[in-house]
Amino acid sequence: MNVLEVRDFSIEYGLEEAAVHAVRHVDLDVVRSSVLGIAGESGSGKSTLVYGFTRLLRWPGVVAGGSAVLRVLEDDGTERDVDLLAATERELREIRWSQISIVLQSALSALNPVRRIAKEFDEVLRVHRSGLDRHARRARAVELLDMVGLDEDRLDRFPHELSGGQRQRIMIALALALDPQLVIMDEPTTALDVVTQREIVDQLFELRQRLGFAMIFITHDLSLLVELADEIVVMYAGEIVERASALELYSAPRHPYTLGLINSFPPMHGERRELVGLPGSPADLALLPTGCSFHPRCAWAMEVCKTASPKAQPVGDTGRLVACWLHDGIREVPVELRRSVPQRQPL
Amino acid sequence: MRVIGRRLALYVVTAWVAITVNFVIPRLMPGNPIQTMIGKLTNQVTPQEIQAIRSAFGVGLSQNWFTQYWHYLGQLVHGNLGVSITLSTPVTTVLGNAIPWTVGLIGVATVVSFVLGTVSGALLGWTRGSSLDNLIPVATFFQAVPYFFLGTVAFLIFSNHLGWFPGQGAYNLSLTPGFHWSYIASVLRYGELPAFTIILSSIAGWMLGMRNMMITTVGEDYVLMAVAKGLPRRRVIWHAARNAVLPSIANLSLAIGLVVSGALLVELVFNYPGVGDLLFHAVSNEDYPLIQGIFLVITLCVLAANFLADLVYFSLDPRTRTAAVV
Amino acid sequence: MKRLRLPRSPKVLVGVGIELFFLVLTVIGPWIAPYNPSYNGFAQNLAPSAKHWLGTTALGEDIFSQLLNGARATILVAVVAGLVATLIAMIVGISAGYLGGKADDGLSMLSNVFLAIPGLPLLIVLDSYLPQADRSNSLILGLVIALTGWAWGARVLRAQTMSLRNRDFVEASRIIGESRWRIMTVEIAPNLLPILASSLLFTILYSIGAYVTLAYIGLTSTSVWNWGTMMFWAQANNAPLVNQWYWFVPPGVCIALVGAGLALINFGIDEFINPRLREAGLTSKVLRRAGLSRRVRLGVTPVLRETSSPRRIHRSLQAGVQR
Repeated sequence: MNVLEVRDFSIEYGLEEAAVHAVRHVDLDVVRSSVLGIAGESGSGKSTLVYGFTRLLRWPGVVAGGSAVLRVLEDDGTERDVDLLAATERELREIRWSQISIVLQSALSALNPVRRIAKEFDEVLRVHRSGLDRHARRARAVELLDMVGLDEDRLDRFPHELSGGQRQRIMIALALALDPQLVIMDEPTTALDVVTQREIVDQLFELRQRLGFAMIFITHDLSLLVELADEIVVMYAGEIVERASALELYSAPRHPYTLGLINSFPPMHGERRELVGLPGSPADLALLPTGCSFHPRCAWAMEVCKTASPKAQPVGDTGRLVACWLHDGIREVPVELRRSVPQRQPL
Repeated sequence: MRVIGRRLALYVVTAWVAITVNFVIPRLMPGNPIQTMIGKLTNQVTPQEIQAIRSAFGVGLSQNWFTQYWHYLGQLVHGNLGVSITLSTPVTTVLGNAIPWTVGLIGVATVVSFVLGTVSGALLGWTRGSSLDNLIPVATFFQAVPYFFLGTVAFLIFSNHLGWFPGQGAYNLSLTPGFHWSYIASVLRYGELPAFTIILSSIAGWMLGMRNMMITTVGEDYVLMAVAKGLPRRRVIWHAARNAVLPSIANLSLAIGLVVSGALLVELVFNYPGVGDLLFHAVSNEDYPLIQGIFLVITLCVLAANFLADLVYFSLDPRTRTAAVV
Repeated sequence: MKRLRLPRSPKVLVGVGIELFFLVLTVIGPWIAPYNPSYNGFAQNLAPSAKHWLGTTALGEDIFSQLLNGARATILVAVVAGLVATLIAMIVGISAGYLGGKADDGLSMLSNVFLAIPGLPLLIVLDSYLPQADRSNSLILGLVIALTGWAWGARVLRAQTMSLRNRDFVEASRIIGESRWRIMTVEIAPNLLPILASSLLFTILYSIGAYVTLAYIGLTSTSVWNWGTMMFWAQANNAPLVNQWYWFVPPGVCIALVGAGLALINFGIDEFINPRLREAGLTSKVLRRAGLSRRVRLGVTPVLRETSSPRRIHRSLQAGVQR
């Protein structure tokens, strides 16, 4: 059962000839109560994608094609489909935060600097839960802070009086305020130190177990997704290049880019690995290479890669997808890209 | 609290500078203008008054500057600003009559201008690319028009030609002042055109400043967050505007100085019996005691208004309470 | 040093056009004036005619000649005052921002004091004590005006310098061992150019207003023709009351135009400094062609429908797209 279905989704910046194709024909499914990780470098389109289907993308971004449907599970067990692209502003306002919430990348800039934290909670509860009175709202805010391990006195502070980790926890608590069905996290740990990162990720894991919401976790650090995500999607230059379960992707990547990403970050635990970065820099969306967008940086690039763009094909029988000419069934797959998946978690 | 203390200290220092400027300038200027002035006076003024002027300006005195300065400060503390030569009344009395008119006119006009300007600026900043944007060149033009010119043109069109407004004075002179409705109504009526002139001249500054700040603020993440929360649109605009208005309030100090300067001239055009009118009169007749008295009082009033604006700013922006402010 | 993308919006071009026009007038004004502006032998209070384009004053002088002559003094004093004030602002502001500490405290106090004291009253006090002879000297007047108008620029420059001081490239220069003076002039100053330009224009705007106001009150020498003096005489002869608009309206309009031109250019500079203010291709034609309503609202990202023309994905070499 999917809580979100995105099909053939494309986003452009600007109009007509000058348009930059930031997201190209993306298909995405988020299973209810599961965690989907979206990984990729800066400029890969991962943030643009989610802002796009939530209609929060700033001008001059426009949705250029495709569909995005949110499946809301009502209290009585029935499902209601919300066409996110056709929704009116009022309809969007109704499901925003109550069904889909989002944790922005920088907590410091996402919180209004002149207002106390309590106001942020109070406001969203007042707008969406009109039945609650002032005390009930405060009680709920305290409850939410407690969920993320913060004391009530944080409520009366201003954002600049709190540490980065505390702010991020507050953002998470805020995101859960209305018990949404889907929570989107846009690089929530990028600005934090490694230790705090760990704490936040653990916290998220625990919260998700407890409350059962679905989560989309966007990051450029694959290692974070390994334990947290059920399924991972890797994006490059606005397209999805690989999709697989977390275990499969991390232990047995099939796409050269995925391999490069994995090798760029050392895991917290596990064996020491040689750190090999990815040569070159991310593709310029305004001037994409011909054929496969990744071929200039790919160690295994072939002639066909320069002229034709690979489609995402199933690999194996577990529902994995890879968009790479190496896996078209005809050629020899390099040994690094055909590891077998271990039977247990690689920790 | 420390921050407020620092601002207060600044204003005290500024007041002191103004007072000292008043003391030093006549003594520094070449050509001995005071002597000339006294020379012209001897017929109309009593010897005591001449002596008072002498001591106030340090002309023909044997004491050194320090003693004179001390004496000068002492006079100020007693509220003695000297005697106006041309009007033969104490400066404080003359100012006392004029100040209420000026404060009333400028106060009301500034508040209205600020409110209208920031509200329209906020709307302009939010609704970018709409037909409202055509207001911008119009506003820019009016911003560049000198206050007194606008006043003169307004007088010409609305008072002289169309007769919609009375052109001169603060109230109908046939009425006696007092707390009765016909007087108050007359005051309001006579104040409309001058106030309108001041508002029109100053509103552009607020509007454009607020518009620019609004556009910048709308680009901030917390505004996007407010939208993502599903808040009603009016609420989102409020969030943005409330943050965008802060620089306008911070700039109030500079703006007050400019508005006051311009408004004084408007008084001139409309013969409004305020401080501006008085200043012109003093300047034309080289009535130095009056000029200096006016300068001092205007400065002190502007400083007081600045301080009020600062207090408002501090209460609105909590970030100033912990960090040091410019 | 980033590439200078000069603003090209119509507002700026109009502003520049206006200023160029008046600059030319400043130079050639007195030459092309039909008569000597001080000659008072004409018939008094004539309405505009072919012989006197703007009529004559109550003393029998040709108004149009006065207008043309007036450009020079007005604009010259304003520019001089603007330059001097901006120079002072640069020295005080940049030093305060870069040096920090006690120097900053002192200089900031100085600028704040000058900022708080209202400009016009101070100007009047200073000017009323000037001997008559000096009042016709444009340079001295310019200096006095500059003294009252530098503080705002100093504050803005200080703030900008402080934010630049902590940037990486300045750090790098410090580490290499460049002298403080060199850092200030070579590294920081060029990045302040847009703000400096804006400050200069704003100060010139203020100076014109100040100068004209002084003239209007009668504090400048009446032997030098400027637009403010024209209005002084007009007011003194009750021109508004007798509907002699052609006497005081033209100089006022000229002042307003010069000021408006400056403000428009400043607009352009603002957009250059703050990229968010730029238009970002929001022209209504483009929007309508794409099938979008006139305004794009935050939180409602537009969704294009299939009516638009097929778009091509940019490739570095044109090749077929396989999908």
